[in-house]
Amino acid sequence: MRPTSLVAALVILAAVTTPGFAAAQSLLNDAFPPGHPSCHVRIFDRTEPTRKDRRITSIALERLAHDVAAERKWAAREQFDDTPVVSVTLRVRLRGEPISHLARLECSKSGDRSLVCTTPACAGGEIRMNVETQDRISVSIGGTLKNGRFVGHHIHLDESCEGRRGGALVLESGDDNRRFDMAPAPREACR
Amino acid sequence: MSTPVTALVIAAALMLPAASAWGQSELLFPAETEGCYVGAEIPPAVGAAAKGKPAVAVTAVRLERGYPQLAHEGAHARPAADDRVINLRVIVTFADVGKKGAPKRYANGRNDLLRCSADACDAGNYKVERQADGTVLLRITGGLNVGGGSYRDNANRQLPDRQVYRLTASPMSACR
Repeated sequence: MRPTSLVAALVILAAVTTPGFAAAQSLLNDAFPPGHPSCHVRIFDRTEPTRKDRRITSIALERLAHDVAAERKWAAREQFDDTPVVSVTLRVRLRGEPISHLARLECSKSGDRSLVCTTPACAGGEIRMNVETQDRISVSIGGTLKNGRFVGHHIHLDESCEGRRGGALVLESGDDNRRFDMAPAPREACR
Repeated sequence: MSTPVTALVIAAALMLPAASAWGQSELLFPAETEGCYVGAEIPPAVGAAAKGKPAVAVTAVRLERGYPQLAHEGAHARPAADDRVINLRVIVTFADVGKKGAPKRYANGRNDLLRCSADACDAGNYKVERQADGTVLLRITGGLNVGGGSYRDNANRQLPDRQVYRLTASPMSACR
């Protein structure tokens, strides 16, 4: 091993063995346990007023057997910055619509305890997940810049992209759906 | 032109006033300002030298600078730098969209880096140049590779050197 390679290896080793890194990795693994399915559903803060005009009536994140299998394949390959680490299905039900919309998402790391998730079929949109605690993750659509201004964004809810009559089917950030707090739940809650 | 693409072009034209603030800024791609440009290839002039053509015709090109790019710029600000650097994403739709399992869209990296003057930005293999009429030209100068599909099942294509696309400032909804 060349000296520079040895130094690089030691630096990486030091980084991944620090308590902060290990704790963050543990939180990600707790939220999305490798090799095991998971389900997260939206939770409401007790102080949050009940609004009957919410556009989104339910939102869930589910990892099924095929997601776990995909993650296993990704983990077996060489890892790059954009290599996905979590595969998840986003289920959203909108007010007045009889069916749930599904989006298969691929999520790559964007920080110690954060993921960026995209719909592979429709490049452009994304949501961000942050593992807040062992029992809570937050999902954000868009975000706030350093100047304090909120910038909205979107995620596609199907794979039609712009080919859908009536325009692309997207979940976009609005006043009541910029951020969702979600908690682990039994699998049945994701159906 | 397919119906969805026609609808997109008409919608972009109707909503042009809403996007004009961005198009009329002092700078191309001003700081902390999202933007979207949508357009298609400029046909070669009669008698002009032949250009390379993509294997499949391009029906729409989008330049997206939305929340992901602006957040990335904010997180990677370079206070000591004297040049202006922005992030941009190029999203391409081809004529065979959806056929035989072909990906619906192709795109380059999420945060392509471009160095900018007031009226032009250069990624090294392509340039974006502001025009007097408010449109921009996307000029491929070194081949632009774009990929589509999932991580496990993806496809790659290239916009060849010397292709030029004229794009119109559009509302962000046109880049969805």
